Amino acid sequence: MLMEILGSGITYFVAVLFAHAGLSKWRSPQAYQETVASTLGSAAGIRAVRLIGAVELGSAALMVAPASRELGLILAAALLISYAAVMGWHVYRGQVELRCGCGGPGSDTRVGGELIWRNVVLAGCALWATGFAVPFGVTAVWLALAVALVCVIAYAALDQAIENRQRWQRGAAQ
Amino acid sequence: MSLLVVSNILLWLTVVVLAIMNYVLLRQVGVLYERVAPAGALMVNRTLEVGQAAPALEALTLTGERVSIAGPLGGRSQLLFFLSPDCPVCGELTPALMAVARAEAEWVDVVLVSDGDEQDHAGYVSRKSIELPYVVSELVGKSYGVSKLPYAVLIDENQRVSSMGIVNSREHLDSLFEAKERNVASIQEYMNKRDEERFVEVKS
Repeated sequence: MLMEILGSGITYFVAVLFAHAGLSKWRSPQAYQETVASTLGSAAGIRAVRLIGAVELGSAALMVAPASRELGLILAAALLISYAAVMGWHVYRGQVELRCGCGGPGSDTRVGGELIWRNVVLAGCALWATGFAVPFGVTAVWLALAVALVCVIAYAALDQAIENRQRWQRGAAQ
Repeated sequence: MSLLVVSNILLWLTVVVLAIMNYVLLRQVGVLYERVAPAGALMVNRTLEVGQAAPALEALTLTGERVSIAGPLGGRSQLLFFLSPDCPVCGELTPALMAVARAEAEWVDVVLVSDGDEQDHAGYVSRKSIELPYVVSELVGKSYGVSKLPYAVLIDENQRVSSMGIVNSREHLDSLFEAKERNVASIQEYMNKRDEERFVEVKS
């Protein structure tokens, strides 16, 4: 029962992340244009950003519906691993000044090793959550939502900590 | 409702509140980073404007070498640093200037400029172990509209004024290079533009 609650909490958490990412791409596509163009080429414009946003929103919707939860989690894990691979490619080419856009359009987080690891861990969590059924009962759902809420706040704090660390490193390098 | 359930609810609430507090604290650190971001060299000049041709002059250094100011630079930039032996901040900045001259030697030549009695300057150069070209010329200061010290003017490879301002710290000095790199008149202008862009992004 406990594992089912945890699995469900992680599912809601990943769904919130993807919903936020997808909505941000639809609301401020220009903020992601540079990042997407640096990967898919300069021809990839606002449409490409919106398409990625739509896939992320679709994945979030799949995760929330109990019948398609597993499919949504697998799609989310695949996206997270793809993003990690793209970031790894940029880091390998020395493009570490590229904004990741992970924390929304206002975020100043740049691509880097810590984000690659974060994505890999998130993808692992999403795949782990596929092994558990949806918990039954009102209390279980409330507990799963509480787990998701704590995960969302912890993720936001981690994102800010990474951004602060990167700023510190950029300042120290000057 | 049993005591255990109540305590569990309270514990959950505590965890959420603590997590929020953690986030808020980290966000505040981020805001501090934004607020203390490069305080660029203050641009105060009634004679020159960024982008205009820098006044070309010839001058002699204290060691008798001829220095061309804003003359043909062979694809290099030139940093004119205006100082005075009586100015304590200038003295504090000379080690940083020499470090900058070494670090940026690939693309920029640093020239120190001052005016007054050559004897005083020779002693100053010796005391501070200054190894950079040192020009004593009132004309250079007047031509470049320097009214406050220490002041620096960065001339780009096309003999145009790239950035300039009062320099009170190493950070101010770096901001002149940063302004040239980012193609803005000053770091303040860059920061203002960036803030405006962010505001538009959030609004849209």
